[in-house]
Amino acid sequence: MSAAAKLDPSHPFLNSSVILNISNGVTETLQTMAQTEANFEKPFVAKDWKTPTDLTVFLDLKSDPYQGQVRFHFDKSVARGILEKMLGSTVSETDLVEILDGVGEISNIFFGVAKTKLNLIGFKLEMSVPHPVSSKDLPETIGNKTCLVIPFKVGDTSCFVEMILY
Amino acid sequence: MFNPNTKFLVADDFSTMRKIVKKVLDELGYKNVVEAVDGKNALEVINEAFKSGQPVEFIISDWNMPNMQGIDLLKACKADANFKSLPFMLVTAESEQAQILEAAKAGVSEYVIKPFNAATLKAKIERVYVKVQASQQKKAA
Repeated sequence: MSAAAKLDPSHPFLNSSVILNISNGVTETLQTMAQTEANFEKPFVAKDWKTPTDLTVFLDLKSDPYQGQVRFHFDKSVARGILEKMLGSTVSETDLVEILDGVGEISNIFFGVAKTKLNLIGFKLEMSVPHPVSSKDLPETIGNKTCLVIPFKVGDTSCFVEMILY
Repeated sequence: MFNPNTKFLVADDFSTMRKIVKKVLDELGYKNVVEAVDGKNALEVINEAFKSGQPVEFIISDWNMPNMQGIDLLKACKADANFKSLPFMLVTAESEQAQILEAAKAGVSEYVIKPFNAATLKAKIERVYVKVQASQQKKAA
């Protein structure tokens, strides 16, 4: 973490409830739909952070007047494993369209679960449809380039939730 | 349960969720399943099937879809005399009270909240069957 990597701690997207509910959304969704365990690790703040994963799903967030983006990052092997458990059938490792569709849907559920619980306690969050892409094709972020990263492990492989504030 | 030949429509913009729902229907013995990628496409499929004399008999739809959302598809069906009595199940990650109330007001038969497992979806389909039976018995009385 560089000395310049700072985020406004009063920003509502950095509220501990947001982080906790996103983590719970990931854990609950993977457990219910894919019988898969996710183990969360300590979040960190970083500047110009680049995900080391293959695939990313991003959703735009709004809670007037605040805006941001949440990104879920996965390795292809993890995404494929989750998808195979959800479908109960094998998925070809070369079928990127199907794997991206699967991580898009599961990320939509991750954040849908969190959003419902957060709005119950007063957040007025709105979210866009999810955009699943290859991580190398991610659009440049706008804003100060500093983000909050929440790592989690599926098996031995690291995945990440990234919160970007505009 | 419903007749095994019952024609289901599964509407979701994600093919993964359509496959998951189709697999559950298959396990329940329902093989007659058509798909739509959004609400607008679902309305086209419903109208085409009706014109062909093999109408859709049960709709399972996602809420959040491009072009036309599931709630608007539900309202469009309820506004059409040909489709207003079709069983309609919304499957969604959106489970805020206001949305559930809006769906109930619009006449949804059942509401399935994601994440769900196969047992939950099967139980909800069974509940719709019980409701349909009760409604038919009420009409006949």
